[in-house]
Amino acid sequence: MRDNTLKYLLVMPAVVIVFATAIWPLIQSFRYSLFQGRLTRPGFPQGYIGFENYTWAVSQEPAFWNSVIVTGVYTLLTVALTVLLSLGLALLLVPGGRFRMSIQTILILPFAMSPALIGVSFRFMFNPEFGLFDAFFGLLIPPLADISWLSDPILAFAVCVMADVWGWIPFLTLVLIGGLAAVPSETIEAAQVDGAGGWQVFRDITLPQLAPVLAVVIILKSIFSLKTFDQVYMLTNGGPGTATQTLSHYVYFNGLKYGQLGYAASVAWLMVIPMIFLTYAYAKLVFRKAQQ
Amino acid sequence: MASIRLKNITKRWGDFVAVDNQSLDIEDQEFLVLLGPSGCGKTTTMRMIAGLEEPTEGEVWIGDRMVNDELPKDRDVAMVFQNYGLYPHMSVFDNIAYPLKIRKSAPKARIPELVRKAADRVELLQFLERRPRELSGGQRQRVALARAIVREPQAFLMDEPLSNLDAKLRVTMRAELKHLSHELQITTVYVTHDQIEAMTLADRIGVMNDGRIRQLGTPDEIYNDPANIFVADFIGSPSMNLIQGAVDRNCFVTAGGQQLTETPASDLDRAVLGVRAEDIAVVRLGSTDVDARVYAAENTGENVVLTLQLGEQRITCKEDRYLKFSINERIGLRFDSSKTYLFEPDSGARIRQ
Repeated sequence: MRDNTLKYLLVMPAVVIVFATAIWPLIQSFRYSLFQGRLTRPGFPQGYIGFENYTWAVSQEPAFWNSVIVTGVYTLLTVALTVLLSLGLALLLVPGGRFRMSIQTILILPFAMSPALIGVSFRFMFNPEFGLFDAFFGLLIPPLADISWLSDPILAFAVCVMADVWGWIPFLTLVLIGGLAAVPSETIEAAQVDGAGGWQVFRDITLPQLAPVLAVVIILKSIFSLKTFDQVYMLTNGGPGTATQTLSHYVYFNGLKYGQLGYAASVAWLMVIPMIFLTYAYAKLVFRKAQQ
Repeated sequence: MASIRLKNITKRWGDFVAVDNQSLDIEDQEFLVLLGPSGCGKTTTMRMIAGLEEPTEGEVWIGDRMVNDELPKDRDVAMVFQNYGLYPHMSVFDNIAYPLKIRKSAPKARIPELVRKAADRVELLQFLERRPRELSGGQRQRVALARAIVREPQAFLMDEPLSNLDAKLRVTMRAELKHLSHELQITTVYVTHDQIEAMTLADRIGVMNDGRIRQLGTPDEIYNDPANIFVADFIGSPSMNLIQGAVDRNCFVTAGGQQLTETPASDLDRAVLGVRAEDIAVVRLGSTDVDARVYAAENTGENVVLTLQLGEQRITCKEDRYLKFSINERIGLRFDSSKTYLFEPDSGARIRQ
């Protein structure tokens, strides 16, 4: 057997698996998005309708646009809060003493929890009758005691954001600690001697050198925020009403709950558009770094 | 420009004493080199002057200010780091301009002119638009120098600035540093473990070991009049021969019983005689009381370095490169008593009489 043939033969199983589990479903979902695709009616995927599902979502469905806005605001808030808080924590922990390692270990714990579990536990904690937060606020600020957090559209949304930020801070903090540790201390000391104060050193020296890591972190977190599903599903199930219905949740509802698979597939493919930009930027950053 | 004064400076980390109750007066415009093996406390001493370390005890004075409580930025010193400490995300121009911009010490419009002047001094003018990573080691070192000289600080602090350069470049940069320091006339503290750098650059050298300056003096004094065994051993290449023996009736006698040289010292049971390799003369066998066997002869091109078996001990000596020696050859040696040094074996202190 020639070397070349053997080469392809050895790679074959991997190609088959990727094709079967990633590429084929992608193709299929795209095909369904071009059909009526109702699971509840005979003859699935029924009639070919071209891009009508797409135009319908964009032009006729306020619920779709509601999810776009929810997802957009959710992504903006969670990315901004998580990155800022993580950066703050990382800056506090980087020069730290001997307790750093143990603190880091404790820090990672929230990240070790599954998002669904985070959703469930936050739902418990915000329960208006026996929840932790209710008791807590009731003690500190009595007027807040009887607020039913998850029934108010804005508060429920805030709780979702909070749960997500809580779950993601540890991981981003660890990544940023790594990034900060890679900034040569000589550059910071040189700036101090050159005449820069604490904030100036951070702005002129630390932050620019941290920028590549920060960019990776922001993009990565954006991707995860855009596709948020499990936590919202467990915490509010998109409600009250559709106040916390992210796009993933909207896709799930339409596709698997209402059986409109064709329509759900088209919305999923619409979600791909921002993802492509983010993934491209991410790959470019990461691989450019690897090449250097 | 200012003098720098350290008053009983101590730096401890837990039980480890890096600098031990050290005082030091550095004159205005002086070029002072702190020389010593790694871990001797020389860099820590410099970092305490810069404000990058806080002394555990003692006072740091720059000019007439006690600066213990001042941040590095307020001490008005410039520092050159071992790994240059350049800002990788800034061009050479911006690197050099940074201290001016951040201090607002010069009007904005004058910054380009000052940067060009500093860059010109270290021959960097054609590289101003480049990033540090596009420069060679020597060029990076020049950027670090330019960034230090672009403003006129009270003092320069240089932490092993040449140690990352290759041997050839180091010699060139050393000469440039010497020229630059002569031109600028600014108080400089320079840390190195390289004795040649210390000897060539310094007005005065402080030889450090175990957190203390063991001798402070001009290069000549350090080389020709070492105060103790540590300094004698550390300075010079090859290092000074330290021969164990005793003093008996004004004569230094080796452990093996050979009478090496006269000495004015009174009788001692144990003593160490220091003599530099170039101060031992090889003579015809039998013409002196001392004889030795050639253990190895190495021609360095410049001269011949002999390793000699003298009784139980081995010593090195430097001879003219045209002389030929064969291994195991027996030769006579002559010691010049004016170029030998007597030390106390336990404390290492010089015995002077």
